[in-house]
Amino acid sequence: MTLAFSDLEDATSGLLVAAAPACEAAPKAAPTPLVRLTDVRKRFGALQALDGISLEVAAGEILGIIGRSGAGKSTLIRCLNGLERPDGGTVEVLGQNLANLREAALRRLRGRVGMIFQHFNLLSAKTVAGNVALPLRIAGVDQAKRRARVADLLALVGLDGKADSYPAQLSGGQKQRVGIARALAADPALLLSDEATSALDPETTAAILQLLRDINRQLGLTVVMITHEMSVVRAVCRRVLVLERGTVIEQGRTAEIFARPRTELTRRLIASAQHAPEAVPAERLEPSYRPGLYAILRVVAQGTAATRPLVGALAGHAGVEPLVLRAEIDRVGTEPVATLVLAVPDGTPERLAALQAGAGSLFSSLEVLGYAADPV
Amino acid sequence: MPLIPYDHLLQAFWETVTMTAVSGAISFVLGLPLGLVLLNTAPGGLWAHASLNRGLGAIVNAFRSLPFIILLVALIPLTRLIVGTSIGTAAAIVPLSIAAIPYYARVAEVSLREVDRGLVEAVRAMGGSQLTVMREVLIPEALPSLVSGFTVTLVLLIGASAMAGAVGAGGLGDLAIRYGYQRFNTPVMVAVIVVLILLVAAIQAGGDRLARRVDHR
Repeated sequence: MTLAFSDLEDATSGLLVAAAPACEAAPKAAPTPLVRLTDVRKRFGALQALDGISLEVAAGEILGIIGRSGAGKSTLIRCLNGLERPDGGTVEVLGQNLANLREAALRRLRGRVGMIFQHFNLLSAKTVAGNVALPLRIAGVDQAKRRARVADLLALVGLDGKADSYPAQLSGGQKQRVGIARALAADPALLLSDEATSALDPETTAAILQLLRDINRQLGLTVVMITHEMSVVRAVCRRVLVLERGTVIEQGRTAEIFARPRTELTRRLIASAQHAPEAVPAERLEPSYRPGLYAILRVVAQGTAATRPLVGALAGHAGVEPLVLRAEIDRVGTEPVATLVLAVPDGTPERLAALQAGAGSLFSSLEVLGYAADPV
Repeated sequence: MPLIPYDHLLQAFWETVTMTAVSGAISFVLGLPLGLVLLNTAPGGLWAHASLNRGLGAIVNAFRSLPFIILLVALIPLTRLIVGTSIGTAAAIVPLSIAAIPYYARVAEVSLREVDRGLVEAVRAMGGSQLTVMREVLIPEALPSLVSGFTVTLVLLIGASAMAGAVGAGGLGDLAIRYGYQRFNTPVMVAVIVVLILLVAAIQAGGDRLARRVDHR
């Protein structure tokens, strides 16, 4: 790859400064976040779209922001490039407080923040090359450099040979590749993705997410992704933030959130990302133990624990061999997460307590879903 | 005198073409910016300005509600001021343009309004100024529709230019009234109608072709 990304220097310069003053190992200072929001509020008429949002985005990370429609995701991402002015709170992006920027300075900042959209938003009257070149023309790059850069970018996103096509001649996935090339054109320090895969089929979604992951790794580009699909978060985001009614209801490492969701909404979002339906239909579950019933458990293990032989460990502590109703190991962000749904024969409270005491340390969570006479 | 005065017919044809082309060009050059202003000063526009928008809208509507024949007479002093005379083809161009500018401004406003807001947002998100948004998004994206609207405006101008015969502007309409109607010369009437039909058909076909050529959607 021949792209020269000057912003890589920006990303590493903080480290150089931290290392410079002392000879002994300097305490590792937290790198300055690329984006810092403090108590951001925005109201549209009767709707409080953002209700005191605070968050930080570290350089080089892929942050997922997930929520249902109307949760305030789009308003939030539009605050990050000043397309939306919040009513209260501060938005600092690339070290600048957006509230202090005048129109021209804000435009320059937007030039350093790329954005991709659900519906691609490509200009139909321009060719692929014309679309990708537009941010460069806005930045005042001369024609020869523009042409070379456009060729590099199209190669990067796997669209060489399409330079003279019009967007209408491309498939959805190709259009989003053009959108990504266009967003990268002006060497952004930050990439905003507003539901970039929501209009694509699953296979194309996977390819586009792979491309975003590659770009993040190869260019060190920081990405903030808005989505309503937990599967997107699982595929690419190291960290995730759950938005509901304009507030952050949960945040943390993606694997952590998947293993131990704390809110009902997050649980539901995660369930929708898992391929399989419920192992035991709800109508067959009973809420309390009666002699002879199976206890239906869901256990989740993450990290290295996910790769251990879990069923054997459980059997040892419970004293009986549980039935495996469902088992899967997923990669969430970069970590493996194992989810098991088990039926423990004659699941007495004592037996479950013994199991919890003996093997509990292996699991991130152990949840009793209910009891059933016939789990299969 | 032959049944159909071909030299008159040819001259009238060129007069009509001249009036239509010149006033059409003027209405495009001035009507498009006016359409952009109407769109962008409207609520939610790039530089929303309610009172300016309402004021301009009222003026545009006032001109559009006047029957052309009234406008033609009412504008005689202005025409005399600009052209020096109120008679002839050049003189007719003034009222024709003034009638067509607000008309095309509204047509252009509607076309420009149809442009996907997401495209405007995308270009603003990459740091584009309002001028960039207009030059790179609004006008190019609306171009097929702007061209179609302009074709309609031209056809309308051909009709209006016939009335301009009232101020001695000449043209096909004038020929049809003076020779065909007042002198009961039916062949002239028929000939004029045929030429007008061909002219309108040619403009419409040309406009459609151009609109298709600039349409990459």
